[in-house]
Amino acid sequence: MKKIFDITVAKDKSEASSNEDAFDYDYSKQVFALSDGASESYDSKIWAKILVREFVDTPNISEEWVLKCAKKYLESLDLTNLTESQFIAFNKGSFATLIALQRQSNKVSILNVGDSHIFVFAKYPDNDANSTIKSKAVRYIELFKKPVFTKNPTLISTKVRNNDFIDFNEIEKSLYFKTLDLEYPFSSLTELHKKVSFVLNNSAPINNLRLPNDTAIFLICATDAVAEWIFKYIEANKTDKIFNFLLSLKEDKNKGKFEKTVSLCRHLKTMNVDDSTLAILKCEV
Amino acid sequence: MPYEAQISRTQPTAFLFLVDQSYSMTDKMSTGRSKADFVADVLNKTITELVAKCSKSEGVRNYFEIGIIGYGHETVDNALQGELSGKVINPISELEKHPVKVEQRKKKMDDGAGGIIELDVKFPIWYEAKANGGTPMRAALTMAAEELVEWCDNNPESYPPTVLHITDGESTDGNPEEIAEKLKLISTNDGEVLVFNLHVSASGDKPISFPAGEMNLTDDYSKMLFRMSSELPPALTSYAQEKGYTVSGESRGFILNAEASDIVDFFDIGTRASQLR
Repeated sequence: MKKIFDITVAKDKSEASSNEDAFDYDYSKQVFALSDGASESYDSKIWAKILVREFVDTPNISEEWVLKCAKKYLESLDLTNLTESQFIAFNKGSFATLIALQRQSNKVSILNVGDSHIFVFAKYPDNDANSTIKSKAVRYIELFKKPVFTKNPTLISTKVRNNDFIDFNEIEKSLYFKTLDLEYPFSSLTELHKKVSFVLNNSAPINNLRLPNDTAIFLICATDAVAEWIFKYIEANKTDKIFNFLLSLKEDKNKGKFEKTVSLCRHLKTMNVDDSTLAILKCEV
Repeated sequence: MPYEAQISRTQPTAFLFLVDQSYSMTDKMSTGRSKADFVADVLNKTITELVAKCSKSEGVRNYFEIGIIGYGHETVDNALQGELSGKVINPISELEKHPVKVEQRKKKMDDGAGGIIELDVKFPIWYEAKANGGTPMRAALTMAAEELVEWCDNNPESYPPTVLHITDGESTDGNPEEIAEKLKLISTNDGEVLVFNLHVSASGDKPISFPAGEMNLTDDYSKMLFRMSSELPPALTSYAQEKGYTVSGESRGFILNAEASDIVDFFDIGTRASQLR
């Protein structure tokens, strides 16, 4: 698993330091984490940073791990002389999404809490002739359902009492966790997507469907504004177009293109004005 | 679609409080407190919640601009004092910096990680109870309209301003309905000014929030204030439902003898966790 490209653009471009998104990698451990701190939080910027840093340091999430993060958050704050309003804000807690992934051999374990999204794309080799799978050059593999971007997301909180939606000691059993088998990636598809994508043109059992040799798996992680925008292309049957565009961002000649695209889309109201982060990882099988 | 503009620091929205300070506000409510004391509590609590919504560890972000117009004793005036008296509508960070007074109290709370901490907390007061003279409600609504025309001209892309009018309804300078209708026509490109009316009544009637009609209102002043209130736009209706209110597409921003600070959560400043419902 290696990084292809990453970038973040603040909601308020004149104040980049107010960006509440955070991400971190450790290639030696084959781990990556992305977090989007919620605007309505006392200090979600710090909280998001702690979550990604702690995951990269210790990629074993448990209740104890979350508690350790909450304690670090508390230690980072100056709570002397709070006003009543700050007290109310602090007491509500800080909140953030978390995408945390780790590759071990040919399996990638992924925790995804909140409305950030991880897109899995299979890019087939250009000369492959396996027509049963390769109806297109790029296929989106729906590992997690599309978030409902118009609703308030459930997020990881600095207040333990707000985290009872998930048992952190058994995250593997939760809705928020998936394992992507890089050799048999279609086994990870959501049931609905299996039916929609394959029923009509493929009689082989999907769970046993291998990818053609030299197929690359790309993991594209995005915070909500960017994720919602990417989904517009996928749903308009323009998966190839958006995938190629995102991949082209790594090229030197396209430096600054993502920032310009975000500005334009915000202006055209096709992308929400929000901290916008994109990270592209590539997994060789 | 109206009422969809994102509220941000570059595109804030405004809250303008209109507060009845007339002599009739000395009347006692069924709780034994005067209407004027109730109003001061509602106002300070609502502003505190607004500031809390914008509070970050590093300070207060200016998602909102706030004004208070007081009316009574035959006058209509800016009710903010001291540093804030120069302008009717001020950025919320200025309110946070300049309360009229601050009380210091101790508060215990859980630290989020299993422990209990005791903190010194400052309680700011922006508005103190006042009750004297007549009720020039038409003049107050006119001043609000003048302020909001200017604000909307300066902030054409912003989420439209919200007026929270707190009164017992007994206007002494004529029927205010006609002015309220004009106030509701002032707009930004994102929609018309939202007018909420909080009726403070000594009648002892059960508190009511966001009714869809006049049928359960027994008092003529309540009925008039209901008519003066804006219909809740769809986005606000769904936030009201999230907060547990029974509302429909015909519900209006009218509240009788109840807290108003919940309306703060009707306005989104970005992502809010579902756990904060």
